[in-house]
Amino acid sequence: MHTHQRSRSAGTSLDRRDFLAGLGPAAAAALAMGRVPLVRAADPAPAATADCVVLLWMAGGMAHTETFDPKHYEPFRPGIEAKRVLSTFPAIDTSADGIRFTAGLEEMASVMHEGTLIRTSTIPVVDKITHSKHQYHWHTGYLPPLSVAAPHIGAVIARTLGPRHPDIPAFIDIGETFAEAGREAGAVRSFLSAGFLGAEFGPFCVPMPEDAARRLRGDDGRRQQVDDRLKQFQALLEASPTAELASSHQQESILRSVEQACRLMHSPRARAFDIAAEPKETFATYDTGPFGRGCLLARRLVEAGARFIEVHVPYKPFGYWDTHEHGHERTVTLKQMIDRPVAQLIRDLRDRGLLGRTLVVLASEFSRDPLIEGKDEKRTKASTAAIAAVMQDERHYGMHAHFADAGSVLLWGGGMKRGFVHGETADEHPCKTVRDPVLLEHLHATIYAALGIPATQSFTVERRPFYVTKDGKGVPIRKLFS
Amino acid sequence: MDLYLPGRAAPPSSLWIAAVLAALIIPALRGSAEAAEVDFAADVLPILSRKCLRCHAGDKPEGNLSLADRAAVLRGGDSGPALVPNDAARSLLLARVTAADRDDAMPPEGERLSDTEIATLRTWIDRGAVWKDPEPYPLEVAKVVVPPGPGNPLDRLLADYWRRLEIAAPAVVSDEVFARRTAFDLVGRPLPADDLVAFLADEAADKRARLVNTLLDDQEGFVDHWLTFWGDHLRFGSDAAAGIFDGGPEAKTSMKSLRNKLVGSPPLDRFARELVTQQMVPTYAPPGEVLSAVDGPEMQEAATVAHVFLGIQLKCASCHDSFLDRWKQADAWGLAAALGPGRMPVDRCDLPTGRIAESSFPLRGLGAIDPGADAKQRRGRVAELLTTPENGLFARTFVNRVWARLFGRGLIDPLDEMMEHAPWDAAVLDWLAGDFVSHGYDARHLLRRIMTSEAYGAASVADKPPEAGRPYVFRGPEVRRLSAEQFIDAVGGLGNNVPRAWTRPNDPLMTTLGRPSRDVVVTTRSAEATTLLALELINGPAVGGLIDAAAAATADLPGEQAIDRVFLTLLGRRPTTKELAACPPGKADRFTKRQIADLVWSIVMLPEFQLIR
Repeated sequence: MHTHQRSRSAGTSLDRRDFLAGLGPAAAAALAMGRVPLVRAADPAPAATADCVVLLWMAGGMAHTETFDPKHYEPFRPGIEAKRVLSTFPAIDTSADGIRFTAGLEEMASVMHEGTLIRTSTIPVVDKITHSKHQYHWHTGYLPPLSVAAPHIGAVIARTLGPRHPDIPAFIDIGETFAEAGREAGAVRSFLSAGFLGAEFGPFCVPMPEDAARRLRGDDGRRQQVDDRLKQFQALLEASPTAELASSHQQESILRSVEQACRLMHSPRARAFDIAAEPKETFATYDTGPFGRGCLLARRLVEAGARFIEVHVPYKPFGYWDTHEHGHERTVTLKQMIDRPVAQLIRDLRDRGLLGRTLVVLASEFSRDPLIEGKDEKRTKASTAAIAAVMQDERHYGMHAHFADAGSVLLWGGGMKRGFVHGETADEHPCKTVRDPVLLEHLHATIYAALGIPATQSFTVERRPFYVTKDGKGVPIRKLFS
Repeated sequence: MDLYLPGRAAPPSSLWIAAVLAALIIPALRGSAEAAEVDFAADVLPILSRKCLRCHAGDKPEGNLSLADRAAVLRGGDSGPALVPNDAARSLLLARVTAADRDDAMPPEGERLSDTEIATLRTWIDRGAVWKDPEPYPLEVAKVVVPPGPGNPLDRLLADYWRRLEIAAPAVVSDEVFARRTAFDLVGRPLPADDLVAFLADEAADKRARLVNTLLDDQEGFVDHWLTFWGDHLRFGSDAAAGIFDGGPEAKTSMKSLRNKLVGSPPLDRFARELVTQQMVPTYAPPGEVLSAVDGPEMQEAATVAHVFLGIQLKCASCHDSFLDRWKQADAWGLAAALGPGRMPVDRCDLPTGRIAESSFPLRGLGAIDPGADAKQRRGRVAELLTTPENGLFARTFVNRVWARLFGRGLIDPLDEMMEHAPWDAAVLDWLAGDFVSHGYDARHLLRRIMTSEAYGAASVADKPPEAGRPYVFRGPEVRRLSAEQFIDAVGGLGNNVPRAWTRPNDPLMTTLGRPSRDVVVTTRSAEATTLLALELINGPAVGGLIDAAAAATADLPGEQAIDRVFLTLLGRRPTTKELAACPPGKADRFTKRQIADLVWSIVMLPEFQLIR
């Protein structure tokens, strides 16, 4: 092993040190070994309109008629028939002609002219609708149970396109702490993973946005210790008698991974992880809580060169968007959480000239209805007792049942149309899809197409093709592209 | 002209003719793509699978042309026979894959065949379009005659193997490396420093065997370690099972419940029988939670049992006759029916086919299952057929899995394609399998057999990326990466009463170290080191806590002793003078906790720690 007297005497960061000097060029081959083969699709790759994706994840089931698809507004009064209550918020205009939102989303309404709204996202229903099952479906494109561990869409993108900048992890996941998911934490973890693609393409997890810099670079107070440790490590490595391992590709891949980690930690771009460095005013605009700060972090990471970022409203059974009672009141709070930071994210990206090549997606695993669990045609077991044909008190006022027949998805930038709405839902109960239903595989195909990835691309797992959209059947919705 | 090709069942008398013809013809073709040998299973079938079989197989193939077997190919479809053996030029298959006209060209969508693929098909057809279905592998374990002599019979068999290949037996590994390897393999963590020192000082000739036996007797440690193996295979402790996908009571599928079953190391046949008869294999969705019975609990259980205990994959066959191996849809559904209602309507993907599957066992030669018997009897029968000594696949599969754990690669590779590949030495596999069966399916006996061999005690081979096309040759153990659990337990072993790693949830540390979430069966973990892992080790809170615990328990020792303890525990050896010089200064005195923590961390980052040599 070569020593690096010069950099050692410099005594600072290790990012310039090459642990692998003298070990030969087999390291790259070693790193690529054991990877699941990627099969480029036969279809010509669509021309990419985006380089980067930000997914704003509304875990818990966001009701379309309470957010981006306003219907007849009915204020609360005891004894009202539930099926008359289509929206518990009045409608408001947006900056896009003919598109209206519900009250409480004024900021997002002001950037609607920058984006596309899908109103007809529909999902398959199997017996009981459960959050983690449909979250798994949304994030991987496949409805469990599966015989292979399906990769998260972010891992597929990381594997296919690689990092956008070598100093920034390709796939960064913000805001899912798992702390609130209770028994379902494991189920949530199982799709926030690279699955069969291997941990290399999995998410760099930042549970709390304000801890992001620390997750990457360690505590400020420990910076010196980390440096000392790395120096000690280097010294022991050089003193190691295990020369016979020098040609081991395993050894090389371990050293290469440490080297790459140091490079990330010490890159000037690592500052993007530090949201405290943001001017106070901007920080305050975003700061509606962890989700809002997550949006700020996402913006900084887009600027720095991340490939795929997910920002979560965390999943908490009966919490956040999982409104099983007091739906109206809770939605007021939820809107306050997302409205300002999401709008600011769009504005900031636009003002920095980044929105053109960044696709921002806001979505949820399913929608909600006051009465119908499942679909109008295929009703499933009710998930809550707070579903009442007649609303007696405010506990009943809101959308409390899991609804699969429609749902809103917002898309900004990345080549999508501006001020455009796709699909139409019924104006009377149930407010289900009546025109242009959008299945998840087609939505995913659209996201992939924006990145230049054919929906028929596959990976070879256990000698079989695993397509990036369900069985390779996703078709991009060309109408959405500008 | 009928040429002999590898794998072709030609009568022995014609072999020499074929060999002569091949010798005459092949040089004439040298330089062209066609000069290469064409093997149906290795070269042709993959092309058909990838490019043709998606449409040209199954009940209603496109154009009524099935390419699923030779008879169907010769029979042809709407446009006539797909090929004329020995005459590629007159074969429709070749005309279609080379057609320029988009209407005639095959495949109609997707990537066309490459020139190499076309050349392979042409050569294959010109040489008779030999269709070699995978050879049935004799189920019963062969009686292996071991060469006479002293020592472990396994070594005598391997001596034979190496002699045949004209390679030297590997050198003996040092006691230090042996002790570390053995402890990780049997109890999942290194020897305590004092035990290691005693072992190294021991001069008795049989000390390695005694170490193996001592560790095998450490019941708690043994179970704590092998629990991980079974958890991965059977999906106990699954993240997904923690609710929701299966809705079932978590306790039934917890690692704790698995541990209870493994205490006392039950014989493998009894363990497997109980899992089947008591319906204890975790499944991940109740019947109402799936689109089709293809995903139903019976099918999941059938696939898991066949996968884990027989090393065969029924997954493909649950939707269609497998393109890749011998399994037919009826095999998958037959086993599912036996574990379910006895008879089941067969779906293709999520559509009913109208056929009914009767209970059966995929290895049909072993015996039938009465579909009319009650559920308990049918489960009993599955358990019986699975574990009968006549079913050599059961023993071979486990032996192969254990071998791969200990040596880094199986006798048959990949581990989950037991019926599709030959072992690199059939005598070694079948002797071990027979020995395992005749010793009551005792896993500890199997481990003792292997681990007291000279082969296990040999120096590891420097691992290199495998060269394509070269058959694997066993030259000794490969370098392996510590599992997530071994990694954590090794560091934890320096601390006081740190809980074993299997009790930890799947936090980012465990996940980046490679523990799967267990939503599917995992028989081999990924061995890659990743940037995310390095970041986690450098800055992650979880590893920091473990290292602090290790430091707290070590910092009371005088300086040199502390360094010794850390090196002995984590690396299984004392530091060299050069390394001592690289350790923190102030050795005469005690170190601060921080100094020790820094040292522990630096050692944990070393490849020498993270690898088992």
